[in-house]
Amino acid sequence: MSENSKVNGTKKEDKIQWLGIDGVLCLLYVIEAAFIGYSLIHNDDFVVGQVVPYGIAGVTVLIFFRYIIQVLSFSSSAKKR
Amino acid sequence: MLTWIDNVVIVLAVAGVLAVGYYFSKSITDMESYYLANRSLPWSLVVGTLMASWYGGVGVIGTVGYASVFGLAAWFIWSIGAHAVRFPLALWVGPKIHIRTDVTIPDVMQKTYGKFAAVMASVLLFVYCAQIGEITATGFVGEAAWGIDKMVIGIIVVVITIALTCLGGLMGVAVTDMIFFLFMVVSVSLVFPQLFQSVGGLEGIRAATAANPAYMHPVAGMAPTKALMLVILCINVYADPTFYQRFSASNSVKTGRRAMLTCFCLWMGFDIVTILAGVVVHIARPGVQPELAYIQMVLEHLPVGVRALFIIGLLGAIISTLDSYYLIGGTTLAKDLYGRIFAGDSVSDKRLVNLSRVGSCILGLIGVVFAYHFKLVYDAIAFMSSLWMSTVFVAVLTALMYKGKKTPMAGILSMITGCAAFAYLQYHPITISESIGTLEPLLVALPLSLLAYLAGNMIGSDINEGSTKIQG
Repeated sequence: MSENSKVNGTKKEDKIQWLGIDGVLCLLYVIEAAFIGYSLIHNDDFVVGQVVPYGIAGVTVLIFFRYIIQVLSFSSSAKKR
Repeated sequence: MLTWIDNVVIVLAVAGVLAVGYYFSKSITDMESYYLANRSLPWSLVVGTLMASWYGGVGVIGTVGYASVFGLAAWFIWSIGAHAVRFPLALWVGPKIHIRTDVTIPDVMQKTYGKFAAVMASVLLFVYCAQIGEITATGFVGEAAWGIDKMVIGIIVVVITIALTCLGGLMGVAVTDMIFFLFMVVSVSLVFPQLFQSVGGLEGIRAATAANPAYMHPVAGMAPTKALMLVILCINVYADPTFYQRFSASNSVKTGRRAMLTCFCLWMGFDIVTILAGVVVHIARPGVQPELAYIQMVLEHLPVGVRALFIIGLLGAIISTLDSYYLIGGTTLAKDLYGRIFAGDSVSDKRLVNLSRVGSCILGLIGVVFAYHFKLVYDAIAFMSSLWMSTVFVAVLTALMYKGKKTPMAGILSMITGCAAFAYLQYHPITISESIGTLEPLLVALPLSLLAYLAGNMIGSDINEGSTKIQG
């Protein structure tokens, strides 16, 4: 496969999905900024002192579990090669 | 100070992480696999690597110190603004690099501007990869945790980093990054509610800083010139090889893009934790070096054994950043300097891998020798980032994004002008006024670099003219 055909072949698949996950992640950033900012200005200790730190820790643990699963599958496929 | 139980936990954890790095060293087969992990990193690994690489010693310890000075403005201006200006990197710039066959930044430079520009960029990139500010940051951790000399902890951290880099390449680095990422984020996040409540929450903080209301104002705590400077430094990441390397190593364009967008959301949440921690330190330990006071406060709030995980998290964050840069720096020395100048295309993959490892060792040596010449972590980081950005930012970005004519003279003139302007103003500072302060070299060097690029682009012809273009 030539360099150019590879580029053109993956172009459609790699297009930004504004109405899909890409758009949701962009929107999430805006909502998160507004949510935390509002909580800071209005002295909401529960959000700033509990929800955000525990939320970040929880999401991190979830990502780590997914990582373990993917590393194991990566490792097994590498051994097969 | 840590107890012997804490130290045993740390030793066991470090041994475990080194074992992981060794395990993944088996996946090295050639230079491509060493450097780009066979372009196979899944979403979670890319998220972990980006997040852990980002939050090095400066990211966690430095942010605490920074926030203790600027208050809430650090989050409203720096955090929100920093990630917002990086959205184009995730959506358009990063994916463009992924589909190109150019592996490193110097490769991009050679293809666009020729060999001289590539070698110049390689030298700068190699020096930039020493990341001496990270080693400076280890001094605070060593002093708070063990009360030991900065140089000793610096050497220990560098030895571990070189071992990880030499053993596993990007795959080993990515895996160990993820483990450190978990330790760091979880420990920093879980200890934060205790610190936050110890000063009475947001109302307690506002009461304690009532004499200086700007400190808890969303934007008033930071001077406009400082804010402008921060925004400019934030876009430095567009010329940061770590991010392009991660995009190239991810298993698809989609994966790289979504991993980075995910990181923005995680970073912003984590930012408020570290920034408010800095605000807490400002109130609870006034007059004390904030970075050091933060680590001491956390150690006092956590039980024996658990606080070892906090220290592992912090040192892990530093090591994660260092090993990412040592990997790039080592490869730059081997492939972009030695390979380009002395060996051409004839150098074997085995020799390149060995030279990469030598390069990592040299970077470690540079770090230990120079790190403690800077009083503050930010001094070292600001100097290196500004030098890198002043010199290569314009040339790299135009090479990647601009589809029109690009001549070798444009790249060379841009780099020389930016570097010279930065060096001159760094050592001959110009004070504008007492209220505005000293003219920041980057603010002059960057526009001059752009002007030199435009002037140079009128000289000569595009060396890629007529060849097949890669579509972005």
